[in-house]
This record gives sequence, structure tokens and C-alpha cells, in this order.
Amino acid sequence: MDTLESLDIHLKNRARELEGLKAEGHKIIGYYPGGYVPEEIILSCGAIPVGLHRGGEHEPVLIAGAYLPRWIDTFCRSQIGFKVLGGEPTYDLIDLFVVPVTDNNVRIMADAWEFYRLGEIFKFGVPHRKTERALNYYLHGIHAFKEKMESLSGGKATEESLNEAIVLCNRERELFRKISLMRKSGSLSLTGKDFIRLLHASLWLDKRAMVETLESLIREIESQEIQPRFGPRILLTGSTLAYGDGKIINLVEEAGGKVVIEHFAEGLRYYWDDVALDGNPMEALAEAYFQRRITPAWFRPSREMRDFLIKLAGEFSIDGVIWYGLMYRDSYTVQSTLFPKILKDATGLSTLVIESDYDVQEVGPLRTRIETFIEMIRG
Amino acid sequence: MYYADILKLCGWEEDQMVREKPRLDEAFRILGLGPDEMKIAEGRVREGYDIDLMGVRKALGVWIGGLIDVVLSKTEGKKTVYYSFPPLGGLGGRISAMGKGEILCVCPEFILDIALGAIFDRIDPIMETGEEKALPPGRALCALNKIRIGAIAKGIIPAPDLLLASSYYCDQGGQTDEWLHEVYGVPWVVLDNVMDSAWDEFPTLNPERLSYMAAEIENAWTEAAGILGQKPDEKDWGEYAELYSRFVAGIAKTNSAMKADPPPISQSNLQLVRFLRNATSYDRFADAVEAIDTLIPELAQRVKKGTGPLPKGSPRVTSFLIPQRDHEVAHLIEKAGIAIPVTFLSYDAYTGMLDPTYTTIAEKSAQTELSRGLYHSTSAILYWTKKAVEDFDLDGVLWSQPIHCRPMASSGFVLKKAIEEELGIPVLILEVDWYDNRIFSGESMRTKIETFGHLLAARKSKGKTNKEGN
Repeated sequence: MDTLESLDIHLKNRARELEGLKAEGHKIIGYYPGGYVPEEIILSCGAIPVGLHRGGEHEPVLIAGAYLPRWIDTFCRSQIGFKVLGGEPTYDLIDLFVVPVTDNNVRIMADAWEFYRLGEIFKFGVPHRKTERALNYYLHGIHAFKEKMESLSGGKATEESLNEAIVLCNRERELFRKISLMRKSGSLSLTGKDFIRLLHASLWLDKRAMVETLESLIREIESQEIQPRFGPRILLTGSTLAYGDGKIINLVEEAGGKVVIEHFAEGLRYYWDDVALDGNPMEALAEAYFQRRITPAWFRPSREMRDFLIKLAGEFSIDGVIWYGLMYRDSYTVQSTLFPKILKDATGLSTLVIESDYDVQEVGPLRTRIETFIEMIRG
Repeated sequence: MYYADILKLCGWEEDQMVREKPRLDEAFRILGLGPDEMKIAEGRVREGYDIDLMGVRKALGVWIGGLIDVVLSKTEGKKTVYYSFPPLGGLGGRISAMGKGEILCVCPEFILDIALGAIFDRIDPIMETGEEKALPPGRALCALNKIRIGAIAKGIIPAPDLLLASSYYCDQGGQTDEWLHEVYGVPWVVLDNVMDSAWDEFPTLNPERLSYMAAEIENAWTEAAGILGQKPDEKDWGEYAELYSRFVAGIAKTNSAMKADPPPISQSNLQLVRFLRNATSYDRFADAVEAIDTLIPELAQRVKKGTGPLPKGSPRVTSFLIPQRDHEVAHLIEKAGIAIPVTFLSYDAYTGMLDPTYTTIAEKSAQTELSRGLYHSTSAILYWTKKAVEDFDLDGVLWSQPIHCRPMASSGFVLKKAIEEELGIPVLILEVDWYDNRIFSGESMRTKIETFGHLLAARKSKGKTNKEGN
């Protein structure tokens, strides 16, 4: 696809582009992905948001061992590793790292970032229940974040600039939703791997360029002749699917499976719902980013997430679920012991639970398990 | 009574045994503890605890009593409430005080770990059941949660009428409660907070966070009262609050005694007494207060004589707590000549920073919990550990780092770097599990502990203090 080829060029040039913007005085704001940092606040202050989202490599995990214990979530350890190792433009260029404190893994990662002075950090809390009190706490946190952004960037997040940013981000969400929902039919030529590539790109590219890319892709898809795609339809879920962590999607597609919907910390949680434009923008952001957010496993109760996965399985005509966990992310680990039976009882579908610590030695055993699972559900 | 010897050793009076005989017979039957297990327990108590001190023996007795209470609670018609460990906001006490004799509100896994684990050495099959049912091995999951699930699944303790869950300090605890809620249909009440404090915030407390926590405590209490169909009883609450004050005052006195050189008691024994407030329901709390009241003059006597488990002048360190499931770790530390006069959990200097302008019970609870540091942040743990080094004139830090505890995960790394650099005293990190000795043994740590003991002794003999650096 032409659009995806130009996306690669965009991605290749982005580091140089960011260096240029930084030299011009723009602040580059790194944030921990997971759907709780409103990029709109960053954009409205004239700063540039980038998700710190590298993973999948073993060396950063090993390096992080000097700063964090090994029994912390692999992705969280990786963030410390990539920062310490250097050479990753996203990690090197940022002026501030924004961390929404969600569970202990994220908190401990932020502790290490702060304690070892790896760069300036700003934390705000994400409560674990959907109550009015919790919503107010989250709102208080993003207000503090807005103040921080204003003082750092010199910009002002006015109602107007916030609404402008919301419109832009809503457009991106709308386009992602449109492409994602196209996958309900069995004939979309875009692979799961391509869609995940787009999601990852959205954490890193200029927002307007991303919107143009998605618009162009939709035009391209709509102009193509419909060709049925065969193979078991897979729902891929878990805590985090990082940029660079391609082994699972590769193994699934090599085994003949088609990932047609995915639910991780990044991606769907962000694009599934829009931010309202008819009220106070900060309150609208809190409502969308917290109160209406599809919950992760560390929410109490976490049932909402499981029910949502079951709904997705039905809507996307799924043949099987692959639960891809990272080592020591407790909430997801415990959920992975509950979910297969709940899914089976509700839909009759099977789940394959696999775990990774970003070690290359995992690939062989994972291939065997994934191939077996795909064969099994193929019937 | 095949259990008379062990109970006597643990401070039970003859008439109490006779009075509680039917309960003891039934509970020990359910627990599968026969004459052989009593002999094992007797040996473990004699070997593991300072039984010259009646206060320690009584404390052991309270743990066994607590075990009997929780095993029989439902058959005795009590409304049974379990809260997660660590307990939050004095909530357990407040709920207990809503109905003395009618409500049993405890942290069962903690009782089981000490009574059935440390005393009877019969906890492993329960953990294995917890692993089989919900929390698989090899994923660094908490032993306490495995015990909670395993004990209910095996029918050793009843499924409760209510679960008090925390959603913020320990992700696994909340997950465990949700699992029990879904599998056994037990109602649950969730208490939330967010550990988002800035690194340099402590000892100042973020008022937003405190206010959110206080509101959650109040909400949890109100919801719990509704589910249990109880109304607060002013008289019972007053009596409980008085007992609680006596207990806290007693702890302060024992801490004061531990400043002596040598400390008069092993920290692992003192910890057994101190933790009673976390694990006994109202009905047995008076016994816990009696245990500490018995211990205080015994410690004073030893301080006066200048005696303790170690000689005067032994190097002094602090730790987070002493692994309690395996006595061997505490013994190894003492055999290496290292005294532990204070632990993070025993250190109560936070009482001096409490702001009297907070007036409601929930606000005071939230303030206390945050000020203690554990539920505040890793930087607060560092803050109090540095203070303890000064207050107790310590020569080092021997940090027991739990490998299955995410909330505590970074504490060892932070403490080692900060304390060695800022205070100039050595820090040894011991990777352990406080509650599960299947994955480590005291013996595996012998080399580390003995070498650390030699290092501390050598530094001390050269007169190096924490102010002089390395």
C-alpha cells in the first residue's frame, strides 16, 4: 500500500524533524502510554507529545536490572533501559516525562526515573474506581499537568486551544475507529501487523501528518477490490504491545492467523471514544480519558475489561483469543488465570495465554504454542 | 487434651483451656492438627521464640486463639469480615467495634501465616492450593494472597460475609479479593487511593490525596455497615479506642526499650507482639493488650540488668521487618552478632508529625496511614529509614527485600544507594519472602549475613559511625 510506504518515510524522518522543532524552542513531551495522558493538553500549549513506547528487546531489560528489581513488568523495566542506554531519539529528546501513576509497576518505574535523575518527570494519579470522587481526583491531576505544561512551554492552554486540539485528536480517533471497524468484515486487505504499525506511529508522528496518513489509507482501502481473507480470526490482548515487540503478531500471521482486533494499553483505549466539545474542555477530557475509558486490569472491579473483551469477540467474529502478558504485570497475570474460563463459558471460544520477558529464546517455544493454537481453532 | 502442653507454653491458663475445650477440639479437627503436630509446634516455639518472656508466650497464645476464632467464626454465627494485609485506616478495628461478639473482622492470611506457618509449620499445602486455584507459581505472586484463597478453598476458614479490599497499595490483594468476590459471591467494599506523590514531597502530605483517602475510608466504613446491617455502637467504639490507645502506648514503650544497648529482645519476637493489632478481632484484642502489658516490665528488667540476646556493643541495624515464617533468618542475623533494635514497621516517629487539625476518624486514619510512609511512597520509606539510623544510632541497614511484593520492589535499590552515599553506612539487601519459605532458606543467606556481620563489627571496632562515612 502506498500510504504505508509513505508512513515509513514519515517515521524515518521524524527524529530529524523533532530535533529541528526542539532547536526552534518547542518542548518535546514524552509520556507513558496507556490512554491516561491527554495529548490535547500538550498540543494546546504548542508542545509536541511523543509516547515512550519502545520495547521487545532484551538488552534494555538487562540494563534496567541495575536500577530496578527484575520482578517488575518487562515493559516498565524497558523504559528505564532505553533511557539509560541512549540512542533512541524519543528518549533522548524529551524535555519532560509525564507519567500517569496507575499501578505499582508504573509507580516503581517512575520512582527509578526520579531517583536516578534520568530526566524531569511529572506524575499525576489515576484512581482505580469509577466514582465521582475518583473523577474529581483525576481532573485535579490533569489540571496540575496543564499548569506544569504552561510553565514549561510558555504556552497557554486556553479553552480555544484545548478545543482545537480536541478536534484534531477526535479526528484521529474517528479515523482509527473507522479502519478498525472495517476489520469486522473478513475482506479488509490491511493486516493486523499493519494496523498495529499505524497505532505505534500515532504515538510518535505529528498529529496532523497522522490524520492525513489515515485519511489517505482509508481512501486507498475504499478504492481497492474486496478480496476475502482466510484464516482463523484472532483477538490479541494483554497489557502492552510495544513498538519493536513484533514477535507475537509475526508468529500469529506466519501460522496463518489473522489478528482482526487488539486490546492493549495503547491503541483501542485511546480511539474507541471521542472527547465531547460542548462543555468545559478540561472536564470533557477527564470524562473521556478517565470516566468513559475502557478499564485496564488494575481497575476495581476489572470485570468491565473482561466484559468488553467478550463483546469484542462477538462483534469481530473471533475464532480465538491470544492473551499476551508481560512478566510480573500482576493484575494482568491474575486476570489471565480467570479470563479463559469466563470467555469459554460465555462464547465457547478458547484462549491461549502466553508471557514474555522480551527474551529472544522465547521465540521457539512461542512459535510451537501459537502454531498449535491456530491449528486447534482452525478445526 | 493433647494440645495442653503447647497451649500452656503459649501462655494459656488451665481454666481457659477447659472453658474453650469444645472450640479447640473442633478447630484443631478442621485444621488437621493432631498430637504429632502439637509436638512439632512445641519444638518450633522452644527453638524460635524467647519463651523466658511471658509477654512473648502470651502473644503466641493470642495468635493461636486468633486462629481458632477465624476457623470457627461462621459456625459460631459471627458476621465474618476479611481485610487485606496490610490493613488500612484502622478500618478493621472500626468494623469490629460495630458489634463486639457479633463481628469477626481480621486479616486471615496473616493469622494463618504466623499461627499455622511459623508455629505449626503447616502452611505450605494451603499455599499450594492457592496456586492451583488462582495464583500460579513462578510469577512472583504474593504468598499471603495464596494463603487467603487456599485456606478458603480447602475449607479451613470460611468464605466471609464481606471483603474489605484495597485497590491502590497492592494490585494483587485487590485482584485476590475480586477473585473471591466472583467465585464465592462474597460482597466486597473497595478502598481506593493513588500513590502519585512527588519524590521530594514527604514529610509533607498532599492534601488532595489525604482528602481522597479519608473519603474512601469513610465510604468503605459506611458501605460495610450497610452490608453487615450494623449500626455503630458508641460504647463499643469507646472501649475499643481505649484498648487501641493502650496497645499503641505499649508499642511506644517497647520501642523505647529497644534503644538500649543491648536491645532487650530479639526484633523477631517483638514483631510477633506488635503485629497482634493487625490480626486480632475485637473479642481477643484485650488479650493482645495484656500480652504487651506483660512484656513491658520484662523488657524494663532486662534493660536494667543490661541483658539481651546479644552482648553490649553489638553492631545495630534496621530492616523493613524480619521474615517471620522462617525463624532461621532471625537466628542467623543474631548469630552473626547483629542487633536489630528497630524496623521500618516498628518505628513510630511519625506520631510526632501528625497534624491535630484533622478531626474526623477517617481524616485521622488517612493522615496516620500516609505519615507512616509505607502507603505514601518509596521516598517516605527512605525518609523514615534515615531518621531511624539517627534515632537508634545504627551502624548499617540489613534490608529484607520481598521478591514477591511489587509495592516494595524498589525500596532496596533506593535505600542502598541513598543511605550508603548520604549516611556512609553499609546496606545489605536480602532477597526473601517474608511469608513463604519454599523459595528461600535462611541457610542460603548465611554467607551474606555473616560477612555483613564481620564488616559491621570491623567498622564498629574502628569507631566508625554513620556520621563519619566509609
